Amino acid sequence: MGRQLSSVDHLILQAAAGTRSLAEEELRHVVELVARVGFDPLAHEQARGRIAGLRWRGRILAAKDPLPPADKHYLWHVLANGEWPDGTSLDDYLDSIRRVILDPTTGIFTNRYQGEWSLGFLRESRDLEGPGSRGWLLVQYRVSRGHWTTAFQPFQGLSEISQPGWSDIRWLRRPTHSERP
Amino acid sequence: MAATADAQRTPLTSFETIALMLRDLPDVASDWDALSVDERLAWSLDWGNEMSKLGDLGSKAATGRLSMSDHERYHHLVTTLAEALPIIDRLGLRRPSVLVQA
Repeated sequence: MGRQLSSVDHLILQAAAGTRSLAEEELRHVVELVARVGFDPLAHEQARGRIAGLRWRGRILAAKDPLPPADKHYLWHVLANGEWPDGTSLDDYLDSIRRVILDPTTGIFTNRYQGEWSLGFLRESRDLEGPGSRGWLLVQYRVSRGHWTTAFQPFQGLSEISQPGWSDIRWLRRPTHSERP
Repeated sequence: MAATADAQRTPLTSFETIALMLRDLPDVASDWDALSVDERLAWSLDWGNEMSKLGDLGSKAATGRLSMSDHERYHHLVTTLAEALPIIDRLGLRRPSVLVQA
């Protein structure tokens, strides 16, 4: 782990370990920071075959083309999988993630995924529901990296975090369910 | 084959997205140790998501809700995944539920 953890990261880890319950003000501070950090702007990942062939930023993507994580996640989850509404731009996608993180009805939990500590956010998709959505939106912020790992609308919906690979789930705040007509 | 990102594009089907991830698996596996932790985690989550879709297709196949051509496509995916189980397990990826007992 090369990055020095912030005070927010330490709060998250303490909450994850169950050694500290975050006060409302502390949770708000954590949420506001996580909403700001976004995907790592300095990282690049290969597009790979699943993204290759898409037209992006004026060119047809090749499998070996490097992409910022934000672009890659957008292309796969919004365009290829249709998890967000038609016409959602990259900026719309990123803004929607921030809105979900900041939304007081969003559930917040600490977790490990494949051993890595993260802070997770789960909220009903609502106006962010696309044709490929199953009604819930999930965001992961990885503590040791200090950036979002992913944001998508899982096929399993709320049950995604019960699937293999997920562990040590600890809810800091449960999601609020909308009233159904 | 990935679709073009046109303004009016239609999202890919589950068959297509599962096949795309599966096709990338050998390449990802060979690069795995060199990938960043974030990329490994994100790819694992995306893989798991596709395996959830496969489980749904499996339920439809078992209850006769797939067309004959879709049933053949499903069977092809399952066969290919079964052959890829050593890679899936080596990378610690989510096993397709239809093959959990394999």
